[in-house]
Amino acid sequence: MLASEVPSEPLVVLDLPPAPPVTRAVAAPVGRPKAPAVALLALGAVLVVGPIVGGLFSKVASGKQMIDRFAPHMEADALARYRTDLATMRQAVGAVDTIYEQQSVAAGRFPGLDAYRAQAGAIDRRASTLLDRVSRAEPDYRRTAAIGGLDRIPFLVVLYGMAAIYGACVLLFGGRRRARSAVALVVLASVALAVYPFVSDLNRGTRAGQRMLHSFASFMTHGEVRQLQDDFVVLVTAVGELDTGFRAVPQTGPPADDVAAVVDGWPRISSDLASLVGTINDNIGNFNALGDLDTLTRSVGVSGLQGFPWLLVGAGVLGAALSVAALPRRRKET
Amino acid sequence: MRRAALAIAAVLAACAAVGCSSAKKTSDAATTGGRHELIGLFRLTPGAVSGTKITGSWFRMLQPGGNATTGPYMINADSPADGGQATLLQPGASGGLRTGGYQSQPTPAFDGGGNSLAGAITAPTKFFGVKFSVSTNETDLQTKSKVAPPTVVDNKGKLTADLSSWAASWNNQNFNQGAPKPVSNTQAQAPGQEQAERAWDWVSQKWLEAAPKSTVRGGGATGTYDAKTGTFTLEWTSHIDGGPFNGFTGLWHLEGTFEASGRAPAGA
Repeated sequence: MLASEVPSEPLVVLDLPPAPPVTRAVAAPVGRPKAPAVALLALGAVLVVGPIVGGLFSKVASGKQMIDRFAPHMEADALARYRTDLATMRQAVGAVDTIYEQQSVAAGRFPGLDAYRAQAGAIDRRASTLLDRVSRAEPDYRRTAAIGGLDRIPFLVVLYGMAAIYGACVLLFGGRRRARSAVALVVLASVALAVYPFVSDLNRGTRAGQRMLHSFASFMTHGEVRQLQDDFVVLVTAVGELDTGFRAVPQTGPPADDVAAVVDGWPRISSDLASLVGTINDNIGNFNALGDLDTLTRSVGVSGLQGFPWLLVGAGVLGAALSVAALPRRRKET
Repeated sequence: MRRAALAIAAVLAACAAVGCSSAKKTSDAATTGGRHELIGLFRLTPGAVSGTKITGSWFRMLQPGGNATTGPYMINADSPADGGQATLLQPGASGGLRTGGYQSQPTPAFDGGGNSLAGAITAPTKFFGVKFSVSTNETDLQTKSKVAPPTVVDNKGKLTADLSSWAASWNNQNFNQGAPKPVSNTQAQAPGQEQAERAWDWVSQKWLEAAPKSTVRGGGATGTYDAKTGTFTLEWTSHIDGGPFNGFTGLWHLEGTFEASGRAPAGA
């Protein structure tokens, strides 16, 4: 008998209860706080556009150029040399007066010397005042010059603005995972921006810069340059006569030595004077640009230079806070 | 076969035409429509004074607000000419001004007393107790702009010249005294600005068909030239822009004899 021929038993019908429905835990909805992200976007846009529209790049570069060009005149030995130049000139005019008197030199014989004798007091006062102002500004100049990477600050601001815009866009439109890394980037950039004023000595430097601007304001003008040029014309004409026609006038003793000192020292004296006047003249534009930066926020009662470091700190803190606040997070179940 | 021969003939004819055209351009480099570029040495006649008459080459320095014909001029006590109002120039080691190349400032440019050591064009001359002199430089010493080498063109006895590279040096200072005047290139620049501007200039010229920026402004020097004797005069005024003598004006008068020669090597 074949196995296939064995009669099979009918299958038992099972009556099972219906399976319970499969349930999964419902995830809490993810919230995307839009307001802080939009504010971060706006902050970024302001920080990118502001420096460009406000000419921050050129103004800061002008300030840096002025500081660099004044460097040789702010050295202690240069300032001491200028004082020696003035003393030499002062002694020479006294000596010329003595020789005029001793030798009864008639007025009009040396018109250049006559003019110098008449104006010597005023010329000396002006030169001394200028030198005093430059000397007084020296400590503030040093602190301003010590600011690290002054001409790169606008780049830092714009780069930070770009990071803020990127972070805001990711927070508004990107995935949740990318949002975390974007916030990390913005926070990192914020810390860098907020810390920079303290690391670079910008805080002290800009306060000193504001005082330096105030000190320089009295002589960084075209009128001052013109006056110094006029004084220079009087001086060169007088020294020229001392070196030529006046040699025929008998001179002895200390007055002769003083006259010889100014004639011999004239190349150095004129070089010092020409160099200083040239530096003042060529940096009036730079000075005004830096002044513009300082007056930028004058309308709100704050010096632009003094407020600048705090602007960076404020922007950094605000950016970090906004980015953290804009981070997508699950809403709590109610 | 005949077609091929015609084609070759046509190509040869075209080449010959192009060749002739370039050869003509080369020969016209110095002469164009009666204008003739004078390449060589403008040998200076030394400045001299006899009574009130000044001859040869000289220089005056006009004070700000002055008039070129009436002054007031700076009085150089070291000069005997016109009560010191003019300073006489003596030819330098090269004999005078060379066109078609530069006669650059030496290094160092000054001695310890601030006297200029440039001695090729004019001999250093005392000016307010310190010697000044002249050089022509590819990059102008004061404005830091690239300038053309001295160029003098004769048009039937009338000279026009580009002397934008003419620079005076005195007492550790450099003053552009050229005509036309180079546009200053010393303004403050943010890091990378120069490269960005150069890239933009390239793009605007290549793609936007913008004209290249002018590197000079104002007119050039003028003068006279006698082709038979070679005698010439060149005169110009040059306003000092920047530096301690900002606003002063230099008045230059050169005269002498032109000696034609080859163009100086570039950068010489």
